[in-house]
Amino acid sequence: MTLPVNMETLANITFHSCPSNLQQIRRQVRSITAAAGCNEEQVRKLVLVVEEAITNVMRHAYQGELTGEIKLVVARQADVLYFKLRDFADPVDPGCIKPRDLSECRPGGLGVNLIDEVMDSWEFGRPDSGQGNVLTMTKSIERGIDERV
Amino acid sequence: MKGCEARDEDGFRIVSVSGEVDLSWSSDVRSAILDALNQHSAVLVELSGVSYIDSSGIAALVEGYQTSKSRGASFGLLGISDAVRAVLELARLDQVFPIFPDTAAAKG
Repeated sequence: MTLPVNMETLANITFHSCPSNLQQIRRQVRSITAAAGCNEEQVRKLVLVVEEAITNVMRHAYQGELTGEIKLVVARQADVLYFKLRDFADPVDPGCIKPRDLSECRPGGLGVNLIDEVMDSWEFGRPDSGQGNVLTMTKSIERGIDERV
Repeated sequence: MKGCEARDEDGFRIVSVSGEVDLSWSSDVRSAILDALNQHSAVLVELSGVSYIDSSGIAALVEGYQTSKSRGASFGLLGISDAVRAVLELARLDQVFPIFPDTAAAKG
């Protein structure tokens, strides 16, 4: 999925694949999505699924390595938010990135389900150049009741 | 302030979790729950002080629940916060866990 050329970049964040960074990233995503006009419930869900995507990179792409580089770009075109997550780890088989059957009650593997449930669309693949993986997710902004009139 | 504390109350071992549960320390939550199940046959995980939980934290709860079932122990969630309930609903696990408002309800 290619990001639109005329989009507005809201954030461009680079950080290491250390789980201790997650709290700060959540704060930033909360601030960005709230400023973009998302209502509180949507902010909460977007914070969760962006963190889930990052957690998957930390666990599965970098396999627990703490110093891998991760880039998160948040952009906007009209009322659609774009979240692009790039890592520089070994390529992950896109066929492995799919929601699982939620009727199975077992620990783990929920992250993709949450992304699939909350986002309007998502696509996982290889970057245009260089090593790594790219996850691009989109979501239309849902405004608060008082902002719709 | 994040952390896990265990106490005994009304015949239950209660693991009280607080703070934002994410990958940075969800393994501690998992250990606390499994330790409680190793020592007690009735365990409740108190989540009223949890302001955020991700799927790694939810996985710790699911593992506790499955461990309790395999041992014939009782297991439930106590006083879950809105933040936790929202994630459980999103993961469609809100109907899986026994959820109680307090220990009296858990005893009933």
